[in-house]
Amino acid sequence: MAEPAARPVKAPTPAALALAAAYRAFDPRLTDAELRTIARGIDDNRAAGAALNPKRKPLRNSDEPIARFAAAESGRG
Amino acid sequence: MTPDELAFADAFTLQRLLTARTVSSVELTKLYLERLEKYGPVYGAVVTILPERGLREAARADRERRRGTIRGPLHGIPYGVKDLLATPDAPTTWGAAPFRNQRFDFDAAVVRKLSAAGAVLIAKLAMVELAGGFGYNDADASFTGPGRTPWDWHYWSGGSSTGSGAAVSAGLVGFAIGSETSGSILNPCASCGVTGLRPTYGRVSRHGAMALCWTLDKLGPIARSARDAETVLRTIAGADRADPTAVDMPFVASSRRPRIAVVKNATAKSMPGVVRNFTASLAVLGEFCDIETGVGLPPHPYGEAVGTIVNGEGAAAFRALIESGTARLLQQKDDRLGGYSAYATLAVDYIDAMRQRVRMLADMRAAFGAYDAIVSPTLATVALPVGVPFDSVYTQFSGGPDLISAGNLAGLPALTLPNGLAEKGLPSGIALLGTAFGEAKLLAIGKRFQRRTAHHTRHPPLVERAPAS
Repeated sequence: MAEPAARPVKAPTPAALALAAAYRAFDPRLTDAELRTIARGIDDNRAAGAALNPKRKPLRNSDEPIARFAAAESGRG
Repeated sequence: MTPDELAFADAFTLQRLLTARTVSSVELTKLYLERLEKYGPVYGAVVTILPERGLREAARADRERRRGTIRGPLHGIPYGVKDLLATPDAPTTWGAAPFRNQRFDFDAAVVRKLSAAGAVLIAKLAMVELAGGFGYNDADASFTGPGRTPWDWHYWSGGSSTGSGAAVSAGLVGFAIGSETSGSILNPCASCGVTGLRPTYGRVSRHGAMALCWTLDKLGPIARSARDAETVLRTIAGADRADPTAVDMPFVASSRRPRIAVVKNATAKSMPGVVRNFTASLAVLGEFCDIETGVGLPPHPYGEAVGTIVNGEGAAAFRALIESGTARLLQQKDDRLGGYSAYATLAVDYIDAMRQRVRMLADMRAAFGAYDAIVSPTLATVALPVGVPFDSVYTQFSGGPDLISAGNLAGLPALTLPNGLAEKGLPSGIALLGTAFGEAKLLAIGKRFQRRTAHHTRHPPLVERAPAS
C-alpha cells in the first residue's frame, strides 16, 4: 500500500474566503476549516477559468460558444 | 461447463448456450443472483439486487424461447445497470446518501430498450456518488463504500461506474451499463480488466439517467468482449423523443485496412508495466492496421475546460442539494464541499469553456479525422489503492496527453480493451478514440484485437470476504 505524501496547502484569497463565508446561509454548520477548503476550491476553479482564455492565444470577439452541442459536423440533434 | 465458466462467459457464448438449451435464462439468472449476493458486497459493487424482476423477466424469456420467439442476441441474458438509471422496482440512489430512498415510476430509456430486447435486469450497481461531479479524492466516495477491483481487494475499481466495472469483471452479471461524463466508463474498465465503450455524444438516449453535465453525459456498455459491447450498443442506440440529443445514426464499418495513429507521447510518465503492455498491443494491432506514430493532440486547455463545464453544469444540476445544505450527507469529504466551490463558477468561465470547445472540435477533427482510431494507454497507471488520497499516490505517473478530457469535450467515442496485467498483477488497458459516430470502426478493430489476444478472457481470483488487514 502506498503512503500518502505530505502536500503543501495554499492559503485561499480573501475574495474567495468572503464568497465561501456566504455559504453559511445554506449550511450554518460549515466550519472555518471547511470554508477555507471551499475557498481554495473557488481559487482553483478561477485559475482553471483564467487558463481558458490564455494571453498567448486569446479568444476573439467572434468566437461563439457551442449553443447546442452536437458531435457530428452536421449538428444533428 | 462449470458454474464459474458460465459466470465468466461472454454474452455471445451465453446466447449460444441458451439457444442450445444447455442452460435456461432462469438458471443463469439464479447463478448470477447468487454471485451478486456472495461477491457484490465484498467488492462494493452492488446497491440493489433485483431477484423478483430478474426471475420474472428470465421466466418470460424462457417461455418465449420455448414458443420460438427470440427477441435478439441479448434475449435471456442477465445484466446490471449503474444506479443512476431509473427503474420503478427499487430506489435509484445515484450512489449518494441524500438520494438513497429516491424512487421513479418508470424505466430509463436504456432499460426499456434492453427489456424490449429480452435482456434480464438483475441489479442496480454501485457508483461514485453523483458520478463524481463534486471532485472526490479517494475511493470511499459512495454510500455503499469503496468499489474494489476484483483483481485485488485492496485496490479501487475505478470510477465513477465502479460497480458496473467490478460486476462484469467478477462474473456477477452478463454485461452492464455505465455512464461517462469524463472517464467514468474507461477508467473502471481499465482498472477491472474489462471491455468498455463510451459512445458518441447523442448515440444513446439518457432519458431516465441522472444528469451531471448535459453536454458531456453519455451511457454505454461494459462487457467481457468487444463483440458483446457492440451487441449492447446496437440495442440501446437511437433516437428518443424524451432526449432531444439522441439521434439515429448508422453504424458504418470499413472494408479497408484500418488506419490508426499513436498519439505523440502516449506513454509519457506511465508505469513501466502499462508501457510494456501498450507496446505489445501495438505489435498486435500492427498485424492488421496501418499505424502512424507521433500524431500530436492539438494543444488546448482540455482539463480546465472539462472541469469548468462539469462545475458549472453540475452545480446547476444539483443546485437544490447545495442550497439545502444536504451535501453534508455525502460520503467523501471533498464531495461535501466541492459543490460549494463549483457553485461559484463564473458564467464567463463556463461560456469561455464552451467557446474553446468549438476550437477543440475543429482542431481535433483536423488532426485526427483521417484515422479510424487514435490509440493510447487507457490510464497511465494500474488501479489506485483504496484508503489513501488519489493525489498522494503514483505522483510520478501523471500520464501522456489528456485524451479522456479531449475526447469527451469533442463528444467522440472511445473503446477500451484489457491488454494484460501490469504492476502488482493489476490489469491495464488500451484505449481507441474514434471519430464522431465511428463506433463500428473501433469495435471492428477491438474484435480483431481480441481474436488475437486472450487478455479479455482472464478472470480475477475472487475472495469471499474482506481480507484481514
